Amino acid sequence: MAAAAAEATIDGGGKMIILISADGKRFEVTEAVASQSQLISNMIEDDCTENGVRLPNVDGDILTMVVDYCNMHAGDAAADGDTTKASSTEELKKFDAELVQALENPVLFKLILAANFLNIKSLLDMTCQRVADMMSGKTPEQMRETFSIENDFTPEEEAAIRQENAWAFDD
Amino acid sequence: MPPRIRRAPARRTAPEEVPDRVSALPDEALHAVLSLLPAHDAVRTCVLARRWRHLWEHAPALRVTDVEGWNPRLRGEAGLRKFIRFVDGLFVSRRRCDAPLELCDLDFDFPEEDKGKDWHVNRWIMLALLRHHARVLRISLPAYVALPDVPLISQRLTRLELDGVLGNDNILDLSCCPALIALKMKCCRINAEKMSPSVKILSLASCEFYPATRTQMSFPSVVSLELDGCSGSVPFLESMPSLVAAIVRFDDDYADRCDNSVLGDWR
Repeated sequence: MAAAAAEATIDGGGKMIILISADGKRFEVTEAVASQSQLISNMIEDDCTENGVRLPNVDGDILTMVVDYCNMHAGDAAADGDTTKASSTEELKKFDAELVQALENPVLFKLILAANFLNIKSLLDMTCQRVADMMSGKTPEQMRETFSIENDFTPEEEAAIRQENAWAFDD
Repeated sequence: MPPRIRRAPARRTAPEEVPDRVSALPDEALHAVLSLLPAHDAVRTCVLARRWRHLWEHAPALRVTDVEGWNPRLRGEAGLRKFIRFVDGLFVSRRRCDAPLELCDLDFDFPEEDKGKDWHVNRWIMLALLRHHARVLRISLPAYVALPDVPLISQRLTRLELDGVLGNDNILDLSCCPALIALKMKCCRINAEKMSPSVKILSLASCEFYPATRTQMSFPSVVSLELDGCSGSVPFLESMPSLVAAIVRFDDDYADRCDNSVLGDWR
């Protein structure tokens, strides 16, 4: 069944690809949508997507978000020079902002892992920006507290690094 | 000697033991995060934990932002010296990384009266291009820093954005940057008799032209041209056979505007 579905085509003639999440959920997307992932784009080029693409480290709920994102952004490259692009760009920005702002921390990090694994640069940048915003303007102590980072330096080691990089810490 | 306790006393653990998800990200994702941070935040992550010790040095972007924003308490001569030491430190530390820079952003406000500012900025530009092979170089310096009077040389530079600098003939030559696609200049003072970089995207906004003779512009490859709100001596545009889209807007500040014209046409 997977093979039959994977070879299915939509009216426009675009080939469909089946993505299979770690928990076995299946997503049918067009090649144009899936190609936003550099990983899948390379697989399409190498002709190895016929039996569906298994993504053993992406859960179904995360893959749902990734597929939504890719569906929304599928026209990005094709719409260059299109006069209707301005309004759709605004809509997209709103969609992206809502998507990334609404994420709880665990989901945000899972989405970063998925974007990194699938190699979707725009999604990786967008999700990493949210993390960068959480770090920006904070002292190392505040960063540790925000993300529960355990300081595994001894106080002496930390002091030595601060000393070595005094140019960056010398307030 | 008893084993040392490897835990900083200042560490506070959340009562519900929240896992450290950020440190668990792969290096590439953390490099992406660090490349979005201003340099002064990125570099300080080196003391977070062992995992973070050298991560920032491998981030593909270096964003050096405002000196006063970095350290508002230290202004004046002492603050400036610290800032210069800071930027030098960034470039020296990054030497350990072989990966080229995707972006180098120099965006800060040097005190206009500082005599040495040109020398420092020019040094950093050369380091960004020659040592770190930046692909995109953004220079935003409201203090009208004079760029070096030598041509920029880079095989990798694709985009150059200049804001608030003085451009001369040599620096705007750009023939030694064969990969350059886009040149964007904003609020720059242009003292060049000739500009003919082989770029596809060219944008000059609110720039002032003041060469001894009219600036001659020839952009054989330009596809998109924007010449907006510039002042001074109107440049002479030569043929642009590849041009697809152009915005050319003049304001009242052109030196050779015809005052007799009701519509303010320029000659």
